[in-house]
Amino acid sequence: MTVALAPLRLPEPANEPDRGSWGPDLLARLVSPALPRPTIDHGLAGGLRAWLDDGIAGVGRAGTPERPVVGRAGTPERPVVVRDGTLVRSATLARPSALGLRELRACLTRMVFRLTLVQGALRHPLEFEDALCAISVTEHGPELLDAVGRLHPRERASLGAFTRARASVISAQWRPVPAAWLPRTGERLRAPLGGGAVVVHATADLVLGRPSEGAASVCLVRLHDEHRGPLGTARAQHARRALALAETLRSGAPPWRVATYDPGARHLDCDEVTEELLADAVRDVLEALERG
Amino acid sequence: MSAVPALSSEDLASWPISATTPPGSIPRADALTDALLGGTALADAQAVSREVRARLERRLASTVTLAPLTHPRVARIAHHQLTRVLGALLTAGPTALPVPEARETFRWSSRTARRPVGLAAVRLGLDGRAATPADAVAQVMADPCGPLGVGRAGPGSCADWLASLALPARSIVAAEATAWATRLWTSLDWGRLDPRQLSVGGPDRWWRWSGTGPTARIALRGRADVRIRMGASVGGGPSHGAHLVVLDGHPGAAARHGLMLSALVDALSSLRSPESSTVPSRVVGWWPDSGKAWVISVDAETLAVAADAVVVTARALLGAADAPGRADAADAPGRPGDNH
Repeated sequence: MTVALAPLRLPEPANEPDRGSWGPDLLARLVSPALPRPTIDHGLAGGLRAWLDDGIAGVGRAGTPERPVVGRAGTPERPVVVRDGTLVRSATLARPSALGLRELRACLTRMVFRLTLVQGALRHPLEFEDALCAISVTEHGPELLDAVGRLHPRERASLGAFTRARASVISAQWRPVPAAWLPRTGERLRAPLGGGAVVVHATADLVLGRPSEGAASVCLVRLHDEHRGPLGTARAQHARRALALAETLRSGAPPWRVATYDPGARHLDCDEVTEELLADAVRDVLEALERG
Repeated sequence: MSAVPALSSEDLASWPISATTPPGSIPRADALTDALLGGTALADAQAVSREVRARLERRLASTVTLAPLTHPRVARIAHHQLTRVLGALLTAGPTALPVPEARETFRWSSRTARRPVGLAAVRLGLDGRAATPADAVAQVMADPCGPLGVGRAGPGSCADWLASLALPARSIVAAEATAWATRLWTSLDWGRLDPRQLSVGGPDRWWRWSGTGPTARIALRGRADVRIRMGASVGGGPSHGAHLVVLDGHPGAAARHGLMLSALVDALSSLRSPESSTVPSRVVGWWPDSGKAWVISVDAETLAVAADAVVVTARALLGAADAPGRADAADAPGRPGDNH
């Protein structure tokens, strides 16, 4: 098939949305131009990668008699995965039998968030049914539906109520993203390091902006609805740093902003991506490997 | 090509296909476009293609006779099968040759549908019918069976599946496809590509082989997301092309062999219909999840290694005992059979 090409010139994401129509919602806050977008340091991504590679080369070294080997790195055949600053055993979805109420809540909240961003608020009071309908056509849909089907009726009712409550909050705080901002939902980020011995994983529930052409241009958001208190705050911080690092390594350009959204607390935490934040993200990865 | 020995599964690990990476400069679209356009035509491509076909036919004939069948059986070899088998071989050694698997049941999902929907959307953008990936995907989803849709309708087709979905399911398919299309849309400087020589998401190409008698048949599938053709109108030089292949995750052990499959199938197809198929000079593999890109120069050696990779994969899929040496020793020309 040969096509007649019209040069693609995508519009830049708007610097500032129309506040009159957007109101005080979180999308407006996410892209508000509080600071000018920084110019890309072209050597930064390479420097971070070199720092990580050096650190990974030292992992697995001889330690003390009490701890003979310090840390754990994998091999290109069986890489170690670091997700949100934590070492994980496997990057694959948990087995269906291991999907409990907590995991199902997270899946449904994530689906409600994505649907709200692309189609608008879900139909009330059918938010639970609509989310399940959308989940049914995803990669792991059959396993997830099976897990929901095996719930006790009381648990299933609780899950439905939870989903409706989350949908209510999300639809009050988010709206469909303008197409010109190039919204992507459910984006996976992978950064293989140390010759493939380690892979940094992150998932962005929302990505905005076109790839950098010299200035930071991308915003990434991660839904973080799992923990509260100091532990939750720290984990959310790790998640934001992991997003920033993975995006910098894969694209060569640091993103503009990274955020975590907690619909339970109705709160968006947003960080400007700086060299200091990225350095902390590198330390997160190396410390996770050192801990093993 | 005669300098390349016939390879067994063990040899594949020591006979890698080399790849280069484009510079990591910003904007990345410039570097990827440069990589796609930077090849030079393969000298005497037709002769090279003929040699590769002869090598492949000879080794396939030798391989399938290792496992005589009571009834014909078809091994379909696409990127997935080849990288799965070779990945196991190259990472865990010949003893890890996978046993023939039960045929996997294909299921349309938001993940499997995002490529056909995304490619149709990018075509709309290139035609000037849509300003953004999301707008383009919305047009495709509005009439998936129509002229701007994902291809022919029919039982089991993507078009029929999309048309059957309820609104929330359609929305999430559209969201996945929009993300996929946006990556391809922003990956290249499309203004530098000649629209008359550009094919986005064209139909998969096939090359089929069958021996005589009750032997297995082989069907190779070559898939590229973008094909460009170059050289035909510039000074009358030989025509050549380049492929862009978009993949998930990050490059694995058999990624180079997998990338070469589309080039191999095009080389074999060019013998049958040179006007519609050319031997690409380059294959560019691009993994947007990890930002990795690999550039493979297509030449006699890489085509030969790709052909051998197909033979090793066929052995595994057909359950033939991996008997390195025996196949390689069969140097006598095999029976060509019905190859097209």
